Amino acid sequence: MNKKYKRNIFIFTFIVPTLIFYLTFFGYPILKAFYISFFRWTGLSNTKTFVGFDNFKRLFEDKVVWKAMLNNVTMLFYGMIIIFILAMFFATIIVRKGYKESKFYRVVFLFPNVLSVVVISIIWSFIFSPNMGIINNFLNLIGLENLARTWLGDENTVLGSLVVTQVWTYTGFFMVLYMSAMKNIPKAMYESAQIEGASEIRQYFSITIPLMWEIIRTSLVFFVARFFKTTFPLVYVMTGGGPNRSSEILSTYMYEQGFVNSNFGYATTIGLLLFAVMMSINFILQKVTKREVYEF
Amino acid sequence: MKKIKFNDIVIRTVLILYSVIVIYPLLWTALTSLKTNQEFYKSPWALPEKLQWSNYVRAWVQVNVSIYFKNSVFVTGFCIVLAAIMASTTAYVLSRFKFRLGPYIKSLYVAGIMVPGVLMIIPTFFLLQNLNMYNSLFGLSAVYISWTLPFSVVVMMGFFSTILHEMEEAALIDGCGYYRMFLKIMLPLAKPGIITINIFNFLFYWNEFVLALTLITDEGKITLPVGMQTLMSIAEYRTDWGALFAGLMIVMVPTIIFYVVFEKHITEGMSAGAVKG
Amino acid sequence: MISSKRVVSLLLCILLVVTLGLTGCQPANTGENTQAATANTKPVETSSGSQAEVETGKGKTLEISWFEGGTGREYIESAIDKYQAMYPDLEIKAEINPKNHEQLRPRFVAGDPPDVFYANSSFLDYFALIADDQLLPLDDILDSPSPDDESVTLREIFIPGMLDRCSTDNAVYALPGFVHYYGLWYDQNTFDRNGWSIPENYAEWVNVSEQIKQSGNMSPFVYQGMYPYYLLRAILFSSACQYGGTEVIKNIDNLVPGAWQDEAILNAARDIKDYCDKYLLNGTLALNHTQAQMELINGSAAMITCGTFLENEMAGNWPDDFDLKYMFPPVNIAGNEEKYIWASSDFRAVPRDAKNPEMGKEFLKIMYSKDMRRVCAETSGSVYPVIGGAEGFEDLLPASVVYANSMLGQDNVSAIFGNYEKWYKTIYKQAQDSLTALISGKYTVEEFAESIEKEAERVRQDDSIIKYNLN
Repeated sequence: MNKKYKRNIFIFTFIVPTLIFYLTFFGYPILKAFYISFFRWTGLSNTKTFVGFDNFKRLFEDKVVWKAMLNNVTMLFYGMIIIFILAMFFATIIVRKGYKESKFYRVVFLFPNVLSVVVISIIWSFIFSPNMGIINNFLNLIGLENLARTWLGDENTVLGSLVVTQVWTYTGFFMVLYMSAMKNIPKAMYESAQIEGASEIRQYFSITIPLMWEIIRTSLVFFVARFFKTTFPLVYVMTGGGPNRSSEILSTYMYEQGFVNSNFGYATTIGLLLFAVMMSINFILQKVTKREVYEF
Repeated sequence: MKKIKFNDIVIRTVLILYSVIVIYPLLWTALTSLKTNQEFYKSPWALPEKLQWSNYVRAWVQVNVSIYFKNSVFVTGFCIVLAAIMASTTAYVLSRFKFRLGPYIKSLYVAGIMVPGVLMIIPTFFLLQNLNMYNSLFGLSAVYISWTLPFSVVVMMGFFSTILHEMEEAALIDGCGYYRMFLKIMLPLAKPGIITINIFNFLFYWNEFVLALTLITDEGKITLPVGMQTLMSIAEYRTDWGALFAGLMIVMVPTIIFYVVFEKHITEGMSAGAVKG
Repeated sequence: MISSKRVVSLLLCILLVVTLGLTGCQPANTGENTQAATANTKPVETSSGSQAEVETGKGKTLEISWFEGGTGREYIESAIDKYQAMYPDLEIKAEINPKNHEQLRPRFVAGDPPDVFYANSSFLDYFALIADDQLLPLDDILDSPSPDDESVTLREIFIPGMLDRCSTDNAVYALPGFVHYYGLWYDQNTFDRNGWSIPENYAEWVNVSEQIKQSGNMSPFVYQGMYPYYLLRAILFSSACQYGGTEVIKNIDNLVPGAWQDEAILNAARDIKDYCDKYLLNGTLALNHTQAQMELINGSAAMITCGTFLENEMAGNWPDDFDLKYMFPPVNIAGNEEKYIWASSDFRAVPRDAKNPEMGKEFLKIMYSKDMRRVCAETSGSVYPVIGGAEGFEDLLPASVVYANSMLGQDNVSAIFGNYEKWYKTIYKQAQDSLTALISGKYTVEEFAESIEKEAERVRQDDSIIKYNLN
C-alpha cells in the first residue's frame, strides 16, 4: 500500500504540474482559437459578436487567402525539392569522397541554420536590393547586366528569391542529417554488393537510398514544420507580402487581418486554415513516401 | 585514374563555390558594419577606409542593444533550465512508468509537435492579457517553455527508453527512493539527451521572433530578434546603416561562438534525434 | 494514514498558489499602469469641484501614450513640462515610443486605457475604436476658448475641413496633429545648373523629364516603391481632381458605385503610367522610403514624391549644396488654374474609459498654443493645421516646409484628403497593390480601376463593415 502510494505521488509530482502548465499555455490557446473564429472582434475592446460560420464563408470567398495558400505551397514545393537535391548531393559527395576538409564543409554549410531568421532576412534584403545589393552589382561586374532584376520587387522573381534565401539557410541542416544517416549504414552492405560487381551508382540507388528512406521521410516532417514556422519573419521582413500580394502567405495575411485590419475573428479562422493545410501536406507526404522499412 | 582526378576537381570546385556562397553574406555583413553611410552607398564591395568601430558603440548604446541582449539572455537562460526540468521529469515518468492515463498524456505531447505556432499567437496574446502576464518576460518565458515541451519531452523519452531497466530495479532493491533515483542515476545517464534538447531549445529561445513581437511591447523588455526588427526600422528612419549592421553582428556573435563550441554536439544530437527517433 | 486524496488536494493548492505567484511576479516595468488605480478616480468637472485642488492637480494622475516617429519626442516632452508647470502636484506618466500602438491595444481590451494618446494611425485603427465606442467626443473642448485668444473657440482656429477627418455623424473624436503636404521634391541647384525649368503642368513635366533623361546621368523620377501610397497622395489624386474636381475623392469616400472607374481616375492613372514607363528610375518598385529618398540625395533621381517631413526625416544626409525645394504636383492640365495638394495629418484622442479625461482633453488643447507650436516647429520641423500655422516660425522651420505651407495660402490651391484610407483599409491596400501592378505593367489602366472597384463593391455589400458618409 505504502509503496503504491509513494509511487503514485511520485508520478503525480513529476507529471501534473508540467501538464497543467502545458495545457494552460499551449492547450488552452488552441481551443480558444477554435472559439474566436466564430466571432467578429476588433481586438480593441471586449465587444465580441457571434457570427457563426461567417468567417469560414469569407475564407472561401477571399481571393487573397487562395493566393496566399498557393504561395505557401509553391514555396514549400520548390524549396523542398531544391534543398533535398542539394543536401543529398553534398552529403553523398562528402561521405563518399571522404575529403580531408570534410569537417570544414560540414561546419560551414550548417552554420546559416543557427542564425536567427530575422537576421538572415535583413541581410538578404540588402543582398537582393536592386541598386545597392551584391547580386545585381555582381551581375554588372561580369557583364550580365541584363539579368539584373528588382528581385524582391518583381512579381515574377519574388517567390524565387525568397526560396533562394531558404535554401541558403536550411540546406546544411538536411545535409548533416543525411550524412549521419549514410554513415550509419554498415560498410558490410556495400562490400557484398561490390563483390557481386554492382557499380557505385547502382549501390547508391539500391542500398543507400532505401536504407536512408525513413530518415528522409522524417526530414520531410521537419522541413514542413520548419518551413511554416519560419516563412513569417522571412516574408514580413523582406517583402511585406508584396508586390501586390505575390509573396503573401497565410501567416502574414493572418497577422494583417488581426493586427492591422482589426479582424481578429477572421484572422484566427485563417490560422485554422493554415493548420489544416499543414496537417494535410504532412499526411500526403507521409502517405506518398511510405515504403517497406528495411531493417539492418 | 585521370578521370577520377578530374571529377575531384569539379566536385571540389562545387563544394568550395557553395562554401563561398554561404560565407560571403556573413563576411559582407561584417565588412559593412565597419563602414560609414557614404561608403555604404558608394559600393557594396569596397573596403572601409577606416574601421568605424563607433558603429558598434552606437548600435549598442543608442538603439538599446544592450537591453535587448540582456533580455534575451534572461529569457533564454530561464527557459532552458525550466524546460529541461519539466521535460526530463515528464519524459522519465511517461517512458518508464505504466499508469492508466500514461498513453493519453503521451499523445498530448506528441500531438503538440505538429501544431503550428502561428495559429496560437492571437489566443496566446489574449490569454496572457487575462492572466496579467502580458508584456512580462515571465509570461513570454512561460509561452516559450510550453511551446518547446512537446519536442523536448519526445526526445527525452527516446533517451530514457535506452536505459536498461535493471538500473532502476537494482536501485529500488537497495532502498533508494524514486526522487533520489531520478536525480542520482537516471539524470546522469540521460545527459546526452539533456544536452540535445538544451541545444535545440537555446536556438529556439534565442532566435524566436513572432511571439516576442506580439507579446512584448515594452521597450525595456524587448528581446534581440524583435529589437533587430525595430533596429532596422529605426535605422531606416535615421538611415544609420552602420549601426544596423553592427547590430546584426552583435546578434550573430554569440550564436557563432555557441555554434563553434557546440558544433560537434549539435551534429551528434541531430543524428541521434533523427536516427533513433 | 493520510489519504492520498488529501495529499492531492494539498498539492493542487500549492500549485494554485505558485501559479498566482507567477502571475503577480513581473520584472519592473517602465512605469505604466500599475499605480493608476490608486489615484483619485473622479474625473475633474470643469466648473464644479474644489477649485484649489483642480488648480494644482493634487492627487491626480495623467497618463499619456505617445507615438515616437519622424517628429521625435522633444515637442511632447516640452508639452508635458508645460502642463506640469500648470499643475505642479499632478502626477504625469508618459510612455513615448515607436511601438506604443502595441501597448495601447491590450489596454483598450482590458478597459484600462491612458488618459490621452497619439498612435500611428496606420497601426492603430482609430475608426475601429470609434465603432467600438472607445473614444470620447471632443466637441466640448473644441467649443471652449482657444489657448491664445479667448474670443475664439478652439474649433475655429483649425483650417476648415481638417476636423472632418476624424469625425462621424455629429461628433469629433480626434484632433488632427501635425499636418503634412505632399508633392514633388527636387534640388534647385541641380535644376539651375542644368538649365531645367520647374514644370507647372503635365506637358512641361514630360518635357523637362525628357531633358533630364537625355542628360544621361540621372533618372527624372523615383518614388517609394514599396509604399505606393506616396504616389497615390502626391500625384494620382491631385491629377484626378484636375480632371474631375474634388467630387472624385468624395465619391470614393462615400463608396459611390463606379467611383474608382470614373474617367478622372482613369485619365490620372493613364498619365502616371505613361510617365513612369519612360521616366521612372530602374528598380524603384523594391525601394522602401529611405532608400528611395537616398536616390534623390545621391543624385540618381531628380524628383521624388514625398511629404513636408522629408527634410527632417533625412536630416544628416543632405549634402551642403543641396537646395531642397517643393514642387506642386506637376499634373495640371492646360487651362486649369486650380491646384490640389494632399494634406494628411495624424490623430490625437481621449479614450472613453480614461480615468482623467478632462485633463486629457485639456492637455490636447494646450498643444495648439503658439509657444507649443513654436517648439514643434523648432524641434520637429512640423506645423499644425491651424490657420496661419507656419506664421512666425519661418526662421525655425526648414525652408522647404515654409515654402510648401505658404503655397497653401494661395487662392487657387485646395487641400484634399481621402477618408477612405482610414474608413476602408482593405480598399486602401487594394489601391496600393493595384497601383504597383499598374506601374509594373501587370495591369492595364482599366484593370487597375476595376480591381479596386471590385474591392469597393465587396466592402459595399459587406454589412459587417460600418459605412461612413461625408457631405
